[in-house]
Amino acid sequence: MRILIVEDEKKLSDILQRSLKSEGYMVDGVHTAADGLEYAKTYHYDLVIIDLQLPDGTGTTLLKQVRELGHTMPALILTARSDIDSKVENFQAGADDYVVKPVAMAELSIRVQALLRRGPALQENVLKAGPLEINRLTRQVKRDGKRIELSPKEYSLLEYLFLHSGRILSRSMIVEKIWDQSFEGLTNIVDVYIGHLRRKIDEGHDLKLIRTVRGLGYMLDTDQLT
Amino acid sequence: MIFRSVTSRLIFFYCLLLVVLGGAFLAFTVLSFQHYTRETLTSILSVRAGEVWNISGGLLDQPIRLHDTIERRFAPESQDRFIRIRAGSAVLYQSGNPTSGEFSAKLVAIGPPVAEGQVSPVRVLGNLLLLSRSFRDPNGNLVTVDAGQSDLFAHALQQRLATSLFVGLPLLLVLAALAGVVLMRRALTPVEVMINAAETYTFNDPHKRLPTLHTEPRIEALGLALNRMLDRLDSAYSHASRFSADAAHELRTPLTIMRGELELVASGERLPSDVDNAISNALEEMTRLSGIVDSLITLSRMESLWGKQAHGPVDLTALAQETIEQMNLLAEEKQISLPRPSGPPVVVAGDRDRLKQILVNLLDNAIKYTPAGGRVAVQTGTNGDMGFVTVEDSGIGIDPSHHDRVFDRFYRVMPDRGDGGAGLGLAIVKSICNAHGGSVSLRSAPEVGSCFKVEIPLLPVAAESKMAAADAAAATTVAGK
Repeated sequence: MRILIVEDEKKLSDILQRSLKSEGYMVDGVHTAADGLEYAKTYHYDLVIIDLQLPDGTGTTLLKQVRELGHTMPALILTARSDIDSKVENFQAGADDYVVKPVAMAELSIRVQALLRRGPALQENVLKAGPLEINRLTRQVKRDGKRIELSPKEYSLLEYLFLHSGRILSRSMIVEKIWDQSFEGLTNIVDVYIGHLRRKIDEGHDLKLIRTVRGLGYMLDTDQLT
Repeated sequence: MIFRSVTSRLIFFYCLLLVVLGGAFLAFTVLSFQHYTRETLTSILSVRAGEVWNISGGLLDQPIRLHDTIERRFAPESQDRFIRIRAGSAVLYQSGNPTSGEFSAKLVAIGPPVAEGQVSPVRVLGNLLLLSRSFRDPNGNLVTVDAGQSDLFAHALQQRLATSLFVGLPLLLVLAALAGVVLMRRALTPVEVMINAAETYTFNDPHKRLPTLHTEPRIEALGLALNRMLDRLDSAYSHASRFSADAAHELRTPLTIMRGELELVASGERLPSDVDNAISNALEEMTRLSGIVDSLITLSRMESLWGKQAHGPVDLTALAQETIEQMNLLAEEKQISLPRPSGPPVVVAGDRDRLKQILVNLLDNAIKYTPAGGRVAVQTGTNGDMGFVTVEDSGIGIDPSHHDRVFDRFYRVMPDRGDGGAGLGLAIVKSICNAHGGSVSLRSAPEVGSCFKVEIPLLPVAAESKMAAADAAAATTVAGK
């Protein structure tokens, strides 16, 4: 999987490259729109990450040019602009995702993963991780074969953790996914729900599945199962 | 106190001026009238003395004829006239008392002698003006004719004139003062208009300016000068507001870089626990910083959106129920009762997500500052053409000294309280309310609790019924299929 990053802020480009490389991707980083277009013409990329403010033009223009060349790879816009107009404009120009800075690398890698997985996604209805099993159709949860009753919000939260098991999910990602934009900044609600979920899933078991990663967020820890 | 107003001072001074001028006019009129009557009477008397001499010159030795002639010609008694003809100290003829009794003819003293052909100065004897003229008769004797006239009539006229002026002047003053009040009011109307406009000026609508009416150049100039001042204030204010938005924008990229670096380190090999702890702390603070940056950008966007917010129908009651549903657990954790509001729909015009953010922020605060076992109540309703939501808690309350400032950016009632807030939550609530043309107010007492009231304009009935009609039409179409 090869990813092109067009970002003029060198340090940010560097950290993005290192972060994505550590995930096992091949990454090229360029700093101008012209270089971005050249690279896109020359090599085959599975994904492009474009900053909107480039020294020689906007990321939107670059995205349009790339699309005009006939490239259909997913494009992720990474920008400091969070207004709706800009979002709409870029989605119309052919963007597949729009991420506002500051972004956690963990979140970015999940979004990259999601974009690369597009297409015939694996739609398993019953997911299993060690002793835990969830049924996405009936929204039922079992641990060691025993039913666990969850409220709709708790279920959504667990399912979200499940689908990204082994990865850290930040509180703001969880809020955005399970609640909505109006809860922006109200991340303490996540702690409360995680607490409840823990009581139902992990209480009385030696193996704790839900892990807190301080400063980063929460994850469903599946590493310890193998 | 009342003399502090320009209107009353102006009217007072011009009334004073009117009194002085009126008094001077009165005195001048009366005096000149007096002078004029005296002059006229003098010349009349002088002429009359001549006439008396002309008709009586030849009759001095025939007292009966002299008497008859003068009586016929001058009728002194009925005309308030006095005529006396004397030669030296011998009186040849003297008219009787006037019928009006204005003077007594017998008491009219004989004046000093007058040389031949001369006219004596006028003497005033009570009401009588007296003038003597001497002639020499054919026998060479000096004959003096005294001619007199009562000036009581002139006096009466003079009195009348003075009285009418005395009565008229105060009347004139009252009328002038009234006219002055009316005129000043009219003249100050543009100022009143400007005051009303200035009272309603807020930075929520920074492009509003004072009206400049083209009636009075100086007042128009004042309006223009104030408007230029507003321009400068506006630009300073928007500069400050743009500054925080720009600063927040510029912080986003470095924040991402720092966060990325720390995340890479944190997700790397097992670290010594103190390093791990430090990185976790830094990451937590980074999250907080990102939150502040986001809040600042939300604030500046709300300010720029004033009045341009997309306005769809939002039911505040349903929104409150939904929000409470989502936040219930926060309250449950602290054993705080948070009942769902029941009531008829309150449909306002607004942006659903933003209005929800108001509720989320207010509920979060209410739960945060209410001790365990307390109560948070949400109510919705309408008040005139406004819909409202109140969020009331039985919490620690806010001292009245903070009420004015709790909605300011970065203002925190208890800065030492380590609750992680940056003091932007209520500022965001206020900016969203303003962007919707609404308002937020606070009623609170320490140790009793706080009640925040948010008011948002209701969706106009016309728009609502139109939408209901559209819904009905859609329903029919679906049913028809």
